[in-house]
Amino acid sequence: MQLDIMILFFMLGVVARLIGSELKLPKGLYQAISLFLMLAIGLKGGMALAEHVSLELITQSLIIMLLGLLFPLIAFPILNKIGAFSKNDSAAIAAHFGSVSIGTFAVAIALLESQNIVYETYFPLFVVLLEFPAIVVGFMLAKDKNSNVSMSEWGKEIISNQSMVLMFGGLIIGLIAGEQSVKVMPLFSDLFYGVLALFLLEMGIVAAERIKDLKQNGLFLTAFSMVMPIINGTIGGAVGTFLGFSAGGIFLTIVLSASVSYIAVPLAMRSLLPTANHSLGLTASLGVAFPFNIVIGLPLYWLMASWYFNFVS
Amino acid sequence: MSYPQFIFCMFSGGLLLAIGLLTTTLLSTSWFFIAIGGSLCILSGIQFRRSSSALVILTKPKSLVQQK
Repeated sequence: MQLDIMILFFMLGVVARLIGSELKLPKGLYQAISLFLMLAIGLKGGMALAEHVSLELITQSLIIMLLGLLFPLIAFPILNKIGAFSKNDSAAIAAHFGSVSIGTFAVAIALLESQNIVYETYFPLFVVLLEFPAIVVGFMLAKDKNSNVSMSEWGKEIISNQSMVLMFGGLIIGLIAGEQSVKVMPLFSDLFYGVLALFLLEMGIVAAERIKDLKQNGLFLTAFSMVMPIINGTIGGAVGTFLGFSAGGIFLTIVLSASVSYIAVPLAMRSLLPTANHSLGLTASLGVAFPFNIVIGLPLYWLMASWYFNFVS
Repeated sequence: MSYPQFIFCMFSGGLLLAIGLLTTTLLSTSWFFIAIGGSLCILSGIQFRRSSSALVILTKPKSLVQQK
């Protein structure tokens, strides 16, 4: 796969910031774009789900959710024992690496569609399902006897999270409306790639800003943020193969496993673990893992998916 | 930089380097892996040598190490 036009928009944002340009999308526009993307992905998933509801899909969903529980458990001891981060910081960063990035997923979908590669269209369901297990595990890992955050509080935090509301809401709307969703699709489907390009332009600017923070947080976090996606992606690819997905589906499982949250988890962790240093997770996610995944990770993940798929077939 | 961190960084750099070298004919971005992996190894080596952990390991007299 060659560098996609979407990635070029991301790189434009990075270059603009590095050369000291004042380029910045208005905050309101960025928020609107994020909401649009989440709703669009949810709707598409809901429409696909309406056609594919089955017992097999429920089994697949449960196994995919287990990945979200497993990844923070792998990341936590590395951060805590080797990285020497505090228990709270390690748990917060680990939660980022167990959850998913909607931006990375959207770029992966755009890549597959531009290459006319078939994939399981109900994948947005897995995006929604993978959002919250890592938050729960992250909170559990950091929780101590003195913690004053109750189970109902974190339950409320997860459910009321805006990305969860929009993606899950879109999924339900798409599921109920089925073919009627076509009415709103000119907005959510035709404009999707243009909006995604704007989103990536802004993400490029933000990622370049975060690169400076790495000077403080060190080489270890940089190495960790590049290796964890590969480790998680390898595990995810094996699971995708086991579940019998197509090559496109295995690729998306790898991407979901490798991607690192920068919207839902930071918001949730801020309220669940107020004493943790939240800039660490965000820097690892936006400054390293996100650019790593979309610029050089995706071609590798496609190669891995092809190997997995060929291995089985 | 502590010794475990140094080992982890070298492992990460080595992994990325290996991916880059093994996929030179398969990936358009393999040189990125080579560059990043190589840089990680070199930078972690430099940072570890400058850190106090390295001083303990590298400058400890042989007899002391053997006694321990």
